[in-house]
Amino acid sequence: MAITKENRFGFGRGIRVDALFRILFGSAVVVAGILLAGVVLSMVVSSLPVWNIQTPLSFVFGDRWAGEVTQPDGSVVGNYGAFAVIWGTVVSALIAILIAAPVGILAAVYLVEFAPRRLAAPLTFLVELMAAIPSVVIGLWAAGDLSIRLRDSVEWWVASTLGRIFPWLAEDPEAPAAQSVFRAGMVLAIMIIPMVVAISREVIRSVPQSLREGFIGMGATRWETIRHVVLPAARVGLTGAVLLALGRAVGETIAVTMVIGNAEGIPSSLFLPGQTIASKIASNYAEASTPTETGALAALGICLFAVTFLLSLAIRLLVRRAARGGGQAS
Amino acid sequence: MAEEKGKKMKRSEANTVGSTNASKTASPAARPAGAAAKASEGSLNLQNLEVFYDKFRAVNNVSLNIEPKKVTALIGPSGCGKSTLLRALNRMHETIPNATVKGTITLDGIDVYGPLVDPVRVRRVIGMVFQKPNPFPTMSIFGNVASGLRLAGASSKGEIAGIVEESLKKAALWNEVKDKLNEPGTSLSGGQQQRLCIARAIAVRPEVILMDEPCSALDPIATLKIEELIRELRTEYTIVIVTHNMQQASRVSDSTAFFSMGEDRGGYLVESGLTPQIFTAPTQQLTEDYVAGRFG
Repeated sequence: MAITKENRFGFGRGIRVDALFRILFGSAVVVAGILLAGVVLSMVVSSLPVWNIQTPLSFVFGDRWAGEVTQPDGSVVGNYGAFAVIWGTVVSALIAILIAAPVGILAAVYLVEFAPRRLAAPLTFLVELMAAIPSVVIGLWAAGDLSIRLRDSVEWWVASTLGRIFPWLAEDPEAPAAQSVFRAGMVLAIMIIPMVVAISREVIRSVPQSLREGFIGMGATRWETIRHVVLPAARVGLTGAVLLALGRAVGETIAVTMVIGNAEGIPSSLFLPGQTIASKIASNYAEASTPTETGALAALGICLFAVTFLLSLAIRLLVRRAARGGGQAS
Repeated sequence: MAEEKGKKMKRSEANTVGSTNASKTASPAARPAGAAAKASEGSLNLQNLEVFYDKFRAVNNVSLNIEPKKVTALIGPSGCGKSTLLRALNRMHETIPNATVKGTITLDGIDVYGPLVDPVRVRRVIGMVFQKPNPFPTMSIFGNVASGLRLAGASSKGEIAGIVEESLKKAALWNEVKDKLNEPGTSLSGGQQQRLCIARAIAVRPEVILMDEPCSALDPIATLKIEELIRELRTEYTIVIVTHNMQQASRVSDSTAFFSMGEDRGGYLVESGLTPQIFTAPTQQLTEDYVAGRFG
């Protein structure tokens, strides 16, 4: 089409195209929102039957998953307490994060700041490969060989030192448990470390080189530069990496179910079997025969949502407070 | 070709500015942080300096004297190794993998590349200001200036506050920031950020300040302020500035060294001398063409 004096500013095509894409992209967000709302709503609806026999408060804080009995008159009596599995979820995820966050971030720092280029590329590939191992495979390894090794090394060592002071780190030396909450945490750590490394690496790499040079140029060592410039600048992204990993640790099901032992109640020691929300749902769902029991499992799902959300919030607040403290110091 | 370059090299050696100030006080590594520089300190001498990236020779056999308490401008077309040379002076190029140096650089007679010299200490004595202002985003204005002092081991709050104020005053920034020292350094304008970086560099009381095109990201007014600042700072510091702006070189510098790129793409020194001489009566045709704006 020839450009004439009249049409040289176009016919509004640019405006129409932008409007079209705004609707397109906007609707993608709407779809995501609807899906999220749908999941929550369906959980709430499925959980309704359980509220006929107990209150949410007795559900969350009851520590016995006692089950139910149908009376001769057809009414259902029972009690589902989620506290023990919530405890198991939080504790195993925290063990995992306490191990995975420092190890993963330090490994990422090494890959970006210290590793020679020739080494960094294959190492990075290896880490990404690790992240791709299916969790059931890790579960197989963890439930067999790794579980025994961990029991006879780390667990034995901690139990025979710290365990003498803190009962929650003790184990029976004659008959150490075949499965434990602590081991579930270790397995989760192994599973989320690659994730922490991969995301942290990208975050640390994105810290501008000019900042590192500025600090080194003032007479700082590499370590001082990492400590005072790189890590603070990467703080928000690193928090994100840890939170994503935490989300996976809280929700991880297969591998945990294979090593945690699926025992009822809060164990007296980390080296005894326990249960997490996800492992509970996975191991009970197939056998759930009544609407009340299915409802209780759906309610557990809501708890899982809440635990993830609250843990994320707690870590964010922790990081913000630490950052403020650091800000005053510098 | 090689012969031709050799000739140029000899001429440039004959042209070096000033006298050799060998054998001065303490070594850069041993100099306590925060000690004030003495009047004649800060003379740099480069002998047959070559800088390599892997096998590529980016800087070719440069010999040059940089006089203390003067401004020396390094000019030349892009890619002629000026910045590389500048970074070799305080061993900043060592942050790039596979960068190596041959030849010698001495500061007041002491070999900057000596076997017992700690590059970290060298950079406290030979400070640096970069092309793009790079205040540390997680630190306040105060924190930015104090960071180098803390690195050097200063811990007394009063002392740090005093030096921060003094440095910001010297960098002509104090009046603009004195009421918002706790705001982030990145909240300042580009020109202010660059003066903050200069304040940061002078806070550790270096003898030499290297500036790598410090105004190339700034507007003309901010540039003018930095140039004024450079002229004031020269009474206390030896300043080496890389610039693409010929007017800037002629405005701020006492001496100028002109670099060009050889056939092998390695940079070499064409000639050096007092700035008025280089700009009005250069001995080399190449220099004349460049300063007259006929190429580069």
